[in-house]
Amino acid sequence: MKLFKANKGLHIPGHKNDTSVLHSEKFVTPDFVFIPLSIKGSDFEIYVKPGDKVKLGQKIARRVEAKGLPIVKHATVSGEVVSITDKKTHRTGLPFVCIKIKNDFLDTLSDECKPVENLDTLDNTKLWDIMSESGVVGLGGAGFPTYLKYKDKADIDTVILNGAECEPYVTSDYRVMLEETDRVVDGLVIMMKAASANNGIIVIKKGKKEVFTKLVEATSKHENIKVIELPDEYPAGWERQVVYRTLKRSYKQYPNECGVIVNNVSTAVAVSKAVRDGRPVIDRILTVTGEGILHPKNYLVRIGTLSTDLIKLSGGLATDLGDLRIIAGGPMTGVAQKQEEFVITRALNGIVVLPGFHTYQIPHGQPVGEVLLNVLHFTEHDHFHFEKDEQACVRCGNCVRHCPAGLQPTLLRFASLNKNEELLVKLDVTECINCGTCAYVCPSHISVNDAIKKGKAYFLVRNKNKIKK
Amino acid sequence: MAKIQVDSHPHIHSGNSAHKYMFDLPITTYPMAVVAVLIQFIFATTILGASFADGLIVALRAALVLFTGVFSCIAAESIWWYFVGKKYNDFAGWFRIMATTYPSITGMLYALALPIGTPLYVVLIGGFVATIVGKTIFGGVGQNIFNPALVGRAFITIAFASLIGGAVNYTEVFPNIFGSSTDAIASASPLGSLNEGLLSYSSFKAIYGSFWKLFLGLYPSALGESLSFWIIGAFIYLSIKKTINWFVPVIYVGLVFVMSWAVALMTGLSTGDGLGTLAIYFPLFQVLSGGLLFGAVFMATEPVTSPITNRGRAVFAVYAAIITFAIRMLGNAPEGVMYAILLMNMFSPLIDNAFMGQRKGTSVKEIVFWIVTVALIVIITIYAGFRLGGSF
Repeated sequence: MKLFKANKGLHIPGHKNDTSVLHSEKFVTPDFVFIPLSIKGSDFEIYVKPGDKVKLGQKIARRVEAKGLPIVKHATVSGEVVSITDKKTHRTGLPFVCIKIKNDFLDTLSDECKPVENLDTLDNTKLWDIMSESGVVGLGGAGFPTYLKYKDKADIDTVILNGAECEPYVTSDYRVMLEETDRVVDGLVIMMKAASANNGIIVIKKGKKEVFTKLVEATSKHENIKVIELPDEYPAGWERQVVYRTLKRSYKQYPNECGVIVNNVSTAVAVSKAVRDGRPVIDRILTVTGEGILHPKNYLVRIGTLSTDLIKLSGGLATDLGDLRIIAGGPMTGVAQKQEEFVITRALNGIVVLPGFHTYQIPHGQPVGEVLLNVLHFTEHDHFHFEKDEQACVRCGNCVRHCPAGLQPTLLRFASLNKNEELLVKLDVTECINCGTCAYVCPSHISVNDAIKKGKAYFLVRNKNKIKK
Repeated sequence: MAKIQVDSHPHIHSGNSAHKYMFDLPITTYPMAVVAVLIQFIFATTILGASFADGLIVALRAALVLFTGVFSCIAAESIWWYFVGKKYNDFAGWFRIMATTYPSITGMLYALALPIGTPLYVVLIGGFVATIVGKTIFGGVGQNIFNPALVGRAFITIAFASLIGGAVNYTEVFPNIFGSSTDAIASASPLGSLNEGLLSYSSFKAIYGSFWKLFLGLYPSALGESLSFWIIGAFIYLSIKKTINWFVPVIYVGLVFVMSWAVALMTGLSTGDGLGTLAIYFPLFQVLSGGLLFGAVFMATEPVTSPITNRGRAVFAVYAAIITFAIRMLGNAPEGVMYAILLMNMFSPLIDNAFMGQRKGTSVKEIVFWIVTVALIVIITIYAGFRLGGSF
C-alpha cells in the first residue's frame, strides 16, 4: 500500500473571533422538541404513542437493525408526546419524520439513566453497550454510531481525539474543549479502555494557546495522552490527514486498519457523560454565527430544538444585507437550507447565516456609458460573497494544486459531466471527500465539487448494480 | 423581503477571479508594447544612425504592426460571436463577450511575436487565423488545443514565408532610410544566423557588438521577443503573483542553455577573452535570441494548452526544450521555439492522461520515463555536437 501524502493545505480565513471567546449560553427550555427519525420513519421502532408522558433521557425509538445502522433516539425534554408523524426539515435539507414532544420544563430524569459506580468493573463489551444504548454518534458532523468504531476491532493502539475544527466560522468544538476540558480527557480515557488502546492523542489547530495550555494541564496526570498541534489549514481535520500528520500512518478505507480510531472531542464528552452519569446524548454545544446574524453566540441546546428559536435568541437575521443563506453546518461543507426552520440534530455543529451571492450580469440593452462604469465591478470581490458568474475553465491548475486528496478536480468534473465511467475510475473518483476546496479556489467560480459529487454518486450506483448482477 | 438562497457548498469563496488572474497578462504585455516601440526608435536612431524624423517613422511602423495585431484579434472574435455564435446584439453583450474571452491578450502576444516589417494585411490575416482557427472554432476560451497566438504566427510564417523572411531586415523594410546602410546589424537576421552553422565569437562581436545590446533588445528581431530585460521582469512578477508556474520557463530556458553550452564546448568555440571564456556567449545568444525567453514565459505557461498537473508541466517544459534544441541545431527552420511549443500543446492531453489519479508518491513508470528522458537529452546533445564538427 502506497503511503498517503498530505498535500500542502490551504489557509482559509477563520472568521471565528465573533464567537470563540463567548461562553456557551444554556438554552434548554424549548416549548417543543422534534426528534428526527428518517425520511419515511418506517425503519424505526417507536416506543411511544401520542399522549404518552416521557421523561428526560427515556428511549423513544430505535432503528430496526435490518434496515440500517442501529441508532437509539432519546427524549431530550420531559413532557408529553404530541405527535409521531410531524415532518420537519433535517440538516440535510430533506423533510424527516419527527417525534414531537411538548416540554413541561421539569426535566425529570428517566429511571433508565443510572450512573456507573465503578469504571474498573466494566469490560469492553459493556462499554460498547453503553455507547450504543446512549445514542453516542459522531458529533463532529458524521453522525456515525460511535460504538461501531470500537466493536470487535482488534489491535487498536491509539485513540485520536479530533479537535482541529477546520471549518471556518464554527467554534463549537473549541468551546467544548475550553468548557469541558476534564470531560474531554475523561472521555478519551474511557475510549482508550473501550478499544484496549495504550495511547491517546488530542489534536488541535496551531495558534490556539488557551486550549493548548488547558489541555496540557488536564492531561498532565495521564502519561500516555499527548496533545498535538496541526497546521492552520483546510482540511486539517480530515481523518486521513489527522492520522498521517500525527502518526505517519496511512490506511485504505477505515483508520482501524492501521490501529487507530479517530473521534471528535464532542463525542468524547458524550461518552464521558454516558458512562459516568448514565446520561444519553440529550444536548450539545453549537454555534450560531455569520454576517447575517445580529449577535453571534454559542449555545448549549437540547437535541430537537428548532433553529428558528436559536436565531431569534441571537437577535434574528440581519435585514440590511439583502438575500441571505442559512447553512446547517460550516460554510465549506454545510447544506444551505430552503427555509429558516430546521431541526437541530446530534451531528450539527453550527448554524451559519451568510449574505447571498452576487448574480451580476450586464443586462442586455444597457447604454454604453453605464456598461463602462460597471467595468469596475469585474474586479470587485470579497470573501463571503460567492460569485455566480460562472465562466469557462481556463485549466489554471489551482484546484489540482490545492486538492487535499491529490486528485485532478477539473478533469474529474468533465468526466462527471460526461458520465464517463472509465475516466472516473482512472481519476480515482472514490477518493474525493467533497471538501469543497476546489470550488473555493476556482477563479472561474465553477462549482467543481458539486459536479464531482453527482459523478461520484452516479459511479457508485452503477457499480453497486454491477456487483449485484 | 429578503429571500433565502439555496446553493451547493462551499458557501464561501477565496475571492480569486478569472479577471484578476487574466489581468496580470495585460499588466505586463501592454507596457511591453510601449517599450518595444521605444526600443525600435532608439535602435534606429543610435545604432543605425537614422535621423530623429526617420526614427519616428520606424517607431510608427512598429506601433502600427502592434495595433493591427491586437485589432485583428478583437475584430475576429467580435465577428465570430456575432455571426456564427450569435451571442450578442448590443454593446453590453459585446462587452461581456470581450471581457470573458480575452482576445486582447491573444492579440497582444501575437503582435509582439511579429517582426517590424510584416505587411499590415499579413498581420490582419494572421490575427484572424489566430482567433478563428486557433480558438473560437474549438468553442472559445478554455477549449482550444493550440496556443492561438502561436497558431497565427506559425500560419503567417509558412504562408507568407518570403514576406516574413525579410521582415527583420531593415535595409529591405525601410529602403528609403537604411537602403544605403552598410552596418552589418541592419541586415543581420539573428533568426537566420541561429542555423547558419555555429556562430563564432568574432562574428558574434562583429554583428552585435556587446552582450548588453542583445540584452536590451537593440538588434533586429520580432518586436517583443528581443526585450529580454522586460521579459525577465515580467517573469518575476508573474511568478510572484502565481499566475504562471515559475519552473516551466526555468526548466525550458535552463535546459536549452545547458544543451547548447555543451555543444559549444564540444565544438571548441571558446576563445578566452570576455564572453568568449568557455564559450559562454553561445548559450547566452541561444537563450536571448529567437524568442526563447518570450516563448518560455508567455507561451509555454499558457494554462489552457499546457498539462494541468505540476509534474505534467515539468514534462512539457523538458520536451519543449529538447524539441527547440533539435530544431535549432539539427533542423533548418529558424523558429524553433514556436514549433516546439505547438508540438507540445498537441501532447498535453496525453501528458494529462499519464498523470491522472491520486498522487501517491513516484511510480516505477515515472522513474523509467525520466531515465529515458535524461538519456535522450545526453544523446541528442552529443549527436548535435558531432554533427556540427565537434569532438570530446
